[in-house]
Amino acid sequence: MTLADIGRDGASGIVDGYRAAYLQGRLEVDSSGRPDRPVSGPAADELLERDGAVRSGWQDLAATVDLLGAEGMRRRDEQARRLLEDEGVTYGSVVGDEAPGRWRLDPLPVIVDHQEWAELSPGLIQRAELMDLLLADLYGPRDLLRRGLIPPAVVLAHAGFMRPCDGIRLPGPSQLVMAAIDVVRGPHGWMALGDRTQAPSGAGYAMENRRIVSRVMTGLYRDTLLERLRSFFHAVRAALHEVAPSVAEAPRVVILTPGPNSETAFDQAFLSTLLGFPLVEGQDLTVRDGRVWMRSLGRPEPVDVILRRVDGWFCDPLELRADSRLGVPGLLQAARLGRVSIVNPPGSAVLENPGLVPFLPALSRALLDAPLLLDSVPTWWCGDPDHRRFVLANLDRLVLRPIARGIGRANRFGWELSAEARTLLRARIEAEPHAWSAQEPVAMSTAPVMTSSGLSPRSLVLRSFAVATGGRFRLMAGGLGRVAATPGSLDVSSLGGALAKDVWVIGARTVTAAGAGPQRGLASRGGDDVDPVPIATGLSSRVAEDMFWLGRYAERAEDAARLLRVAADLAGDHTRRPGSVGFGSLAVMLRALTAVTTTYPGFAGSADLIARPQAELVRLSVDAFAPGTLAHAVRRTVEAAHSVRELLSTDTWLVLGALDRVLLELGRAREPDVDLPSALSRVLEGLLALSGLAMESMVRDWSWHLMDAGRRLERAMQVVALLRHALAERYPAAVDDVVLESVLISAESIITHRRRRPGRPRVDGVLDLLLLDRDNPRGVQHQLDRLGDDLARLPAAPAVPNGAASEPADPRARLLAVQARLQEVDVHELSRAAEPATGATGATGEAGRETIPRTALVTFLDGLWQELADLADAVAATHFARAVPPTPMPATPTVDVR
Amino acid sequence: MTRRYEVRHRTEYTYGDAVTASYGWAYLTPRDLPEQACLSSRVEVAPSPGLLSDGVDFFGNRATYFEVHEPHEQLTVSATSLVEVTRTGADLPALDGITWPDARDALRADPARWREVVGFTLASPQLSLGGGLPEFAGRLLRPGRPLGTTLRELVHVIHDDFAYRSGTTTVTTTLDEVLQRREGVCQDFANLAVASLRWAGLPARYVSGYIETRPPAGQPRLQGVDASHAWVSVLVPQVGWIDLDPTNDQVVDEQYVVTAWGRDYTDVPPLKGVIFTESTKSSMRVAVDVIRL
Repeated sequence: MTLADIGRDGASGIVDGYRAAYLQGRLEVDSSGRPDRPVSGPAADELLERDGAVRSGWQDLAATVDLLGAEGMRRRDEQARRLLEDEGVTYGSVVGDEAPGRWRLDPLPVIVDHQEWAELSPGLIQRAELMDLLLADLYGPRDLLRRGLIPPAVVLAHAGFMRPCDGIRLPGPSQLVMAAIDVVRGPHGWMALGDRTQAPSGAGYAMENRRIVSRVMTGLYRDTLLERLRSFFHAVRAALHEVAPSVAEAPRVVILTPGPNSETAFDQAFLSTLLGFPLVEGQDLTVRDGRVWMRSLGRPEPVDVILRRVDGWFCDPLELRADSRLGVPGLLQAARLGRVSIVNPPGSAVLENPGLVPFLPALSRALLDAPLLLDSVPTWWCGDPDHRRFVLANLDRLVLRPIARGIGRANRFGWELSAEARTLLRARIEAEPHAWSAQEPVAMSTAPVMTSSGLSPRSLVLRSFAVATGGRFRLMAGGLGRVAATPGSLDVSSLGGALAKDVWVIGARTVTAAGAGPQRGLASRGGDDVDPVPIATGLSSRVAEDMFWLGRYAERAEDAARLLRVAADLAGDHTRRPGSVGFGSLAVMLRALTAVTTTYPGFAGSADLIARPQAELVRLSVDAFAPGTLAHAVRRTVEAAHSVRELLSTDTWLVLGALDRVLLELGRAREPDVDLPSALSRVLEGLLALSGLAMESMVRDWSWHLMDAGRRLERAMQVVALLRHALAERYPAAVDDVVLESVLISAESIITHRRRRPGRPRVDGVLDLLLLDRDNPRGVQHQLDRLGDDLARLPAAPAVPNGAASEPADPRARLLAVQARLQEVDVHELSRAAEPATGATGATGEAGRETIPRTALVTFLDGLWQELADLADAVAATHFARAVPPTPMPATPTVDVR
Repeated sequence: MTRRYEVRHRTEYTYGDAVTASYGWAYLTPRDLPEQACLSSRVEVAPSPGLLSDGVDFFGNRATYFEVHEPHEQLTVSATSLVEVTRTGADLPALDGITWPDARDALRADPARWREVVGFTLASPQLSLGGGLPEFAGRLLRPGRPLGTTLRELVHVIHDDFAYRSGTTTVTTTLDEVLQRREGVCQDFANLAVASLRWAGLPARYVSGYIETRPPAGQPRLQGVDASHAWVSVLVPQVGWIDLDPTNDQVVDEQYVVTAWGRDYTDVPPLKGVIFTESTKSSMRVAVDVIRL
């Protein structure tokens, strides 16, 4: 029996359940004529024919689904969810109070049969070609407006038409390089729903979907002859090189991103990995003498091509939106002078314009001398009097769309509006008719998605991607499938909670030469369909800084977790025995904890808090928004990692995801009886995994050395701060013993100490081990040695245009000074407490006995800490001299005389 | 009658601290028009700019781009132009042969021509055609009114009902604010006239330029007291674009020099720029001279 046979015979299979529901639904639609919404006729389904038979190309999938059964499919759904979480695949904002939105993916691919794809492709390519010609004309001769082939108001009143971009041209034959077209399958075939030309997103997500689905549906993937996605990304690379200004020999390409807060930050970072082009923010670039430069570690590097993911109006605060912090002043002029190529050109959003749709058939005949191959969803433009009359007479059965997207400009489903809202809409359309269009609600085809109650049909929109290279468009053989969040909904948008789907285009049965054409999924590494390209260009100063802070925060989190764990252990043992030796040392360590984490007043301010430390210890662990806490350091670590995600391995996301979950868990467990030490141990495990990855899985390039430098500096400062605050005073011997032991445990050096110095710990021995011992990987001297290695590998201070004017100090010289100071120190001298005879009277400690300050030690450690802090500043000033943000010149209104 | 002017326009920015880079665009070069010839023009920037380049914008205006990378606490942009003007003011009474709706319909009756100017009938970044505008414009632009009289009334009412007050508005003042406060400066008045005409469906554009001023009788001409100016231009069938100055309640004639036009102020500010600095203090001084030769 073959897989397919099982599928057909499985009488109680979940495909049968889906089929029964589908046929029942069709029956209802057929009998009532019009269901609850005015869609034109019953919707088709991707899995099933009208008669319920499985559609061509889907047989293996149907059989697999039946074989796995509901339980098996649910497991795969869960597996996909976990993989996405582990790899940190986000959609929506990540930083801030909100938890990052997760990318949601259905484990079942949408399958497009070879024949169907062959019929759809020419229409997609033709539409991209047409859009390219429109773009070239609209920012060039504008003949189409002059001749009336496009009513001028469709363009001139569109918010995406950018007059400052007039005359900017890319070298080469194509102006629109990246095109995306959303298509739906109606009752009579595929049709275009909309165009994405501004900065099409989703190609990275499409590849990620493929990676996940190929791992979750391994068997099906292996046995299916499907087209691969990777050649599309090769074509994108080629296309970006082709549009470089002709003077560029080996063009440098960057991807301009709005930053890690962007909704599609994952898509951008993954694209950067797939293409091997660095991700930069506006502040990483500068224009000098009409050329674009990237502020890099080392020296500024010229940029020839910019793949733009920042919206057009935000690209240049000089000529476009003055309030933009995402752009680069002078960028537009650099493009105008032909010294940089921006892809897509900044004004390309004018094509994201449903008002153009009614004119496309005539434009196709005029410009391509051919009929439009791919139908559009029937669309009316209200600027045309006849169209307007029709739309106003049919408001209750149309989808009303402003011609330009913007805030508060979502689509309106006419039949969902109240009478009042409809009147309001009518008035708005009449006041500004050219700004509105209307579309017929199409009965979009449904595709099955896995839910807790089996397979459920959801409206499907397929985003296809095209890239222009060598004068013609090439399609991604696949795309980004998205389905509505709820059954019956026509709203298929990522913002509206749509679920993603991988799109499998079935290859032709004739297998071509090896490497080209469709291939069966490979069994190795779960059949990943990805080939990341190493990023060749240098490191931007911003990324450099983020790497440095990633190192610092990861180390800070690790040290905070250790210190908290020691404090929590002591608290568990001694809280109930005030006056005891144990309680005395607990008090010392708690005050040191407050001081080291700078979370004053904390334990420094209140004896009551020391008597009942649990609440404050929990707060120091879980309050992610109070600086100094463990959770804050972890949060900053995760944020820094998000900012540089294109440089980190996918395993990093596994670790960071686990860390996130532990913190969430901790956050929920605020009850007084939470087992803090074991929770802290789990956090520590995650942090250790992170540093393990850093040591074992990262190439030793500049970015690694910066991260390591951050880690080394932070660890040295943490050790110094711990010694400074825990050993500031000499306590009675029994208390001192516990304190010294706690310090050694916090600094992860207790075992070393026991092996090297049997017997009870002494201050000078602890200082020797934690400050001077070059071989102790937790000691300060060791950190400085490693830091020296890191700094030696980094380039000399760059000349940064538009940076701060001050001269940075050379961190290497500062490091030598710190090392010299450490070498001169005599730990025996330092460990001596001031004698009471000198006149300084000791205070009375918790244990009721005298304490004596270690004045020399405190003075020395304070000085050392300050030197380390200055050294960190010097590293920052030398390597991350960031630009101050641009501000507008003062402006006064035209003043005049009368 | 032909007049020759030397126009000097100097803008000086002073900052409280070093500016490491300045980027700017200047609309300071007069246009070449049938009734106006720009004989010579130069724009100078100090400190010496790393790049100074000329361009022509969407509306055919000449503009100058500059970058300064030398650290500076003061930036000066000076333009000096020699212009010959032969413009005679529009004869408004002669336009009373038709009503303004007739004029609008006549323009629309020529589709090819209409397609070229329809952009000047639409809302623009500063000029929404809603809010308080329909009420204001509707009172002036009543159906059946003769074109010439309507235009004269429009500039007259703006001149009489609105107080001229410098310093009361900024470059971001909206039309509704102007309508509410009943005061403003020339660019507000020009914007108001432009928006009113567009509301009525007539193509109208915002014009930036200069006006010659003369000292009161018997007094010497002071230096640097002139200023850049702004007014409205409206398209009239058979005649073409005619310019009106609501600030001074008169038609634009040989006393005026046209620099640039656009949909509203935002298309053609005399000078705009972006600086990189940690300075929080800045001041700006403008000196304009329109000298009749």
